[in-house]
Amino acid sequence: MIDQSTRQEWMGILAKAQVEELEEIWNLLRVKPTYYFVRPPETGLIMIRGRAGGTGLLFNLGEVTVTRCTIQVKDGFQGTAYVLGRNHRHAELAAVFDALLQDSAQHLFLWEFVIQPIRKKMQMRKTMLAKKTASTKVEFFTMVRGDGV
Amino acid sequence: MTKFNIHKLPLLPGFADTVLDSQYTFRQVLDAMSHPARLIPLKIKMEVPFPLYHTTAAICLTLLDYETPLWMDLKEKEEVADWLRFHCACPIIASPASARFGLIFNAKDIPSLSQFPAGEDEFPEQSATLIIQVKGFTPEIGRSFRGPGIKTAEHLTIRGLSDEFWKFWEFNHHRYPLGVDVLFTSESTIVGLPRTIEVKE
Repeated sequence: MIDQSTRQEWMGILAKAQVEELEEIWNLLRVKPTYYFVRPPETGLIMIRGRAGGTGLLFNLGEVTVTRCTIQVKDGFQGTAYVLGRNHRHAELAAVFDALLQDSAQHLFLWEFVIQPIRKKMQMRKTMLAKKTASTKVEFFTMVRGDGV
Repeated sequence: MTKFNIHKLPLLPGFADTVLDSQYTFRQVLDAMSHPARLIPLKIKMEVPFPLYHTTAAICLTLLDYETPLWMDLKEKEEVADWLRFHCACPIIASPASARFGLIFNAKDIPSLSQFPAGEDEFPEQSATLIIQVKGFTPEIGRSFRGPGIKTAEHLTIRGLSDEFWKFWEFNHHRYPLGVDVLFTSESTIVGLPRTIEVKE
């Protein structure tokens, strides 16, 4: 049974995926579902908040563009996506995959074939970035005055 | 953990062209309000949940948003409420006293207009606008409408509207500058009735 937190997980992964990855998987799908837009992709602004300082207080970091989309698969489920940025195709594809993943007949296959590979790639990108960042780390040593004299 | 509802009816889309359709609808509503009791066509192509008319749906999509609490006399049709909440993001409230819009499907049994906010002396615009779905309109016969926007008098019969409404209207008109404004809708026509209009048998 699919619960809300599982859906949140895949929606997050689809939103953070790169649009080329989603497009590639979409092109590989042998049976493409027919769907219509309940809400065509539209771009707006949201305020992102975060704990920016060391004190841990919430801070309005700034506004970012967000594109949202809702689709309805014919004789199937309704899919929704909210993605950062202005790429309408990304929001559309993420919504379609969200709808398909809710279908228990396709869920397992799509989870293995779509979500897991994207998650792996995302993790790789994250490790790469962390490595790159780590390589620029500078260690500061303080000479201990009068040592060994 | 909450299970999400997977057996809900599919949600219908809104305007086919958000920009052009809402601009056109706004223009027709403006026309209807500036020429009270005149039949204004409003033709929009889209699928809407029963028992909403296309005209009513288009007006809702154009005028409602998250800042306009809506009250409606339809409790059992969740489909309509879901559709309005999704496309307009408007809160649907239980009491007409704090509504900015009222949506009335059963024109035979109209709630008293004084239940809706009529504005205050300093802010008469903070009043409700009612959208009432009726069967249809027959121009040139029936009650006479007088007031700003009408040269001498217009005659109009609103089919499927309770006579009680006109008693409420008399009171509403006398409260000017306070009061509510009304938009009547049929399948493809709308008629505006702002609070400035005096209606006689």
